[in-house]
Amino acid sequence: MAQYAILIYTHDSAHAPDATPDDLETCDRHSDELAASGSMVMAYALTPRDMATSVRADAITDGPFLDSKEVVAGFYVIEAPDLDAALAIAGSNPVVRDGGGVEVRPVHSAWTAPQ
Amino acid sequence: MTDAAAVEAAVTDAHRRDWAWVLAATVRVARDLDLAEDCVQEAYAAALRTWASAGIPDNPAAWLTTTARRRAIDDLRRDASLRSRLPLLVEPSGALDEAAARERQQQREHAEAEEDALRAAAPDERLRLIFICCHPALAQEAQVALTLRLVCGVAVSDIARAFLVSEPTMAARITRAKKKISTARIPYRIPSPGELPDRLRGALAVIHLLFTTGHTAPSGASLVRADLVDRAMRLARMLRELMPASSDVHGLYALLLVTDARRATRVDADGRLVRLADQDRSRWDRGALAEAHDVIVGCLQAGPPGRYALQAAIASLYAEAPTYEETDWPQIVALYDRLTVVWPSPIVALNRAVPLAMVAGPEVALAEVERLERDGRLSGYQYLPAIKADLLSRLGRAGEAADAYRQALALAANEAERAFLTGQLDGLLWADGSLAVGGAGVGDNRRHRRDEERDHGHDHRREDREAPDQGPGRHDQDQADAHQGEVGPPPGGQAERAGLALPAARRRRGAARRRAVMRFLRHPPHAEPPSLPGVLYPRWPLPRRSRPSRPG
Repeated sequence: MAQYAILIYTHDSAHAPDATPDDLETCDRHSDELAASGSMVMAYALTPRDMATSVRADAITDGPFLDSKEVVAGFYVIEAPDLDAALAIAGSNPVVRDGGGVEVRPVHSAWTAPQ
Repeated sequence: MTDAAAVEAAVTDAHRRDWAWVLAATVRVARDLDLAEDCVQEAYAAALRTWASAGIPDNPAAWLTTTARRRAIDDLRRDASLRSRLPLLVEPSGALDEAAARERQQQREHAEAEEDALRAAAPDERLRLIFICCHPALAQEAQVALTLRLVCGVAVSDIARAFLVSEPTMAARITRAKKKISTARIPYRIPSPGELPDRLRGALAVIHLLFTTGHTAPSGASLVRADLVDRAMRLARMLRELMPASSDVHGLYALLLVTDARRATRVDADGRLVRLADQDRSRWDRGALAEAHDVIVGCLQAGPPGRYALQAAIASLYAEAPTYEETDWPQIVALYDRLTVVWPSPIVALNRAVPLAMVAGPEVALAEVERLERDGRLSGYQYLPAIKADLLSRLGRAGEAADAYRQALALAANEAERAFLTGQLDGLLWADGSLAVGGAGVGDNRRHRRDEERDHGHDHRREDREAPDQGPGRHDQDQADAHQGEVGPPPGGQAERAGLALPAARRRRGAARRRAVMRFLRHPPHAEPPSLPGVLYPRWPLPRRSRPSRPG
């Protein structure tokens, strides 16, 4: 098994600070499915683009790093035997049928702070 | 001792014929593309030495495979750390895996018997190799390069020359692709039935691209590129052998056959493209056209025809027409109607306008072209104004036609096409009594026309009136393929204008073949158009910005 990070690209994150359970229903359902299947290792949902701040050597600016139609709305890490399996899991993300898409990247290494 | 020349010929032959099989079988043992490739390369080098003294073996492929696999095993043993390299994912598959495991245990004993067992199961291995090279996670240019390197065994320097890039650039491209295969764990397996249609489309696209790259090169590295055509034909044959049930594979093979049948006449002694009307039909490969026809009829009868089969059928009808007047325009339009269903591309719709003009008149075709112009997806596509110009000129609207020719000229990138368009524009102004400009190739063009009239008794003005396709039609359409990314069907299709009469016997044969296709269209076994998947040909290399949005 190998780990793959899946980056969710969409117009904006549904996870606004004041988001209702209804707003998040689709995301949550997919997340539950992945968790139930045992393939998901971890997941992070990010707040919308308005909350983003970018830092460069010469300036700090409001907004996402890239001026693009899509932003990274969240990311998660899955385990899969090979790329085809990872792509199949990634392709089941509801955002793919909703005008957005996902990027799949093999994980090189990971570190988390000891609890 | 065996004659050195005979040994070299045998090794060269085995390289062309068996490289893919030998490498595919070695990958299973080596579990690493690079190692397998090195070992196979060494096995071929060893063959040159060994066969000279020991004689050429009865089964060169088995000899090469055994040698390459032994080297791989030795290599893995010698350096155990190699085993911890990022493993190439080889999905187990029954007998094959057992055979490989057995061999790992028993090594050199019973090698022959095992080679026979593996040889029997070999087709699967070659398919794995093809599908890993054509995996959609790799850029198409990388897919093409990997296919040539790994499936065809072409040297990196030759691949670089064929694609007009430096050798280090090509080597880096291939290395990057291999690295992605191991890092991202692209599996060495045959796609599951659910994935297969998409994955097969990708592999067919690679073969088609190889073919058109070789086929459309009128100059420069033309020798290397003729070899690309040959490689593409071999790959298509290999896939037919490996996937005999796939109609698309047969369709592509037929399309390549029809197109390649005219290889000898497409370019003149100076390397310039020759219009279809001016090509010497007696030099076309009638055997190839006949074979293509049989394959096409097989495809059409097997079920709803796919894109390649339809393209091949159209190209075949053009090529079979004994004279221009006898071209079966209604059937060509009917085939285009089907093609637009399975391949809803604006370029297909544009190409359909050419035979449509012959069936329904230039006015109807012009309306269609203008609709496509308003659609906007073909803006910047030179053949749209070129076809429009021809239709306008046939409707007697010379001024508008001249404008459209100028528009096409501004978009034409290629010198041969510019010369042709200049000639058309010039001819238009000449006929209009307002000739003012001269240009490159104009004199040639007019002399050519005079020759044609003298040789074949054609009425120049009548021909102009009837020619449906003076845009891309005057040159083979596939000239555009390499540059446009998308292949306008059929290669040479709308270009087909028969200027020469064929001997009566040949004409009758052609008519019989046309009837065979015709019968199908009248009594199609599957009258309903094929149901469409949500996304068609997602990886077909339409330039991204002009890719049509797909409903649903």
